Amino acid sequence: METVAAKFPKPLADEVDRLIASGMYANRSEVLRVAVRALVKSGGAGADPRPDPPISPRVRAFYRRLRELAKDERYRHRWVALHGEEILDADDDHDALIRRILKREEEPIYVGLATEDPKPPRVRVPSVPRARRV
Amino acid sequence: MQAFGYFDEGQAIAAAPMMRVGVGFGRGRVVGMPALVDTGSDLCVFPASLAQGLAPEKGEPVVILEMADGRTVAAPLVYPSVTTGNIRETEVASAILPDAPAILGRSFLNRLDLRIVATRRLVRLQSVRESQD
Repeated sequence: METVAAKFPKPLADEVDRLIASGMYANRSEVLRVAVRALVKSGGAGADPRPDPPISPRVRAFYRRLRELAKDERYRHRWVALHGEEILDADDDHDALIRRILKREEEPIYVGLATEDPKPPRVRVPSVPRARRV
Repeated sequence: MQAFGYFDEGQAIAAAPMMRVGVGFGRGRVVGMPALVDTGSDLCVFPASLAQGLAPEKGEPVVILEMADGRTVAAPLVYPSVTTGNIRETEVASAILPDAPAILGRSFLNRLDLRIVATRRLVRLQSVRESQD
């Protein structure tokens, strides 16, 4: 084995010591070996092995608009349907809003939740083996 | 109302439960395809090649799909109707993905009673109301 010296911020060192005190690991070396092994296995992705994929400028603009609308009492924390900059409809009930916008002629109509930090929903689709990035 | 599927041996190690579905993106805009019955998927997934020119852009502009191997993909979310046998469900949340097989996920399956008897190669979907009668 090789010896590797490392410096840690005190709070992180305290967390490592807590893990040892809990009996999960024998000493600091063992904690580091397990952590580094996991990092190498993840290809260097670290604690976030599932980073968000790139999102188109059009969609980023939509989320910017949702952030703006979150400042408006009428739309804050509600589902909003937008056609470009125009607000077509809003509802507390996502499904009711979807049903209404499907009957409208305008395209595209984007629906999202007006919050301070709007994000695309994350869903699990484990059966797609060959999908490529878009 | 009910619909029957089948088990497809395909190229996989184990046969997969499949249903023949029609996916409708509006009046007269329906595409038929075989779809994998997958209770592990949150959403339905339909291949972009079949949905091309059919999927109107209405709904969430993008959803992040998490694959089994940890990869993530951004895909548009649409709300087509899905028909199988004489069952028809509308506004079914579905992702459109390039090079993907068609998948019937829980956004569709949770509205129905699903029965799979693998030893008999049986796949059956039934409307909830009918199965409660």
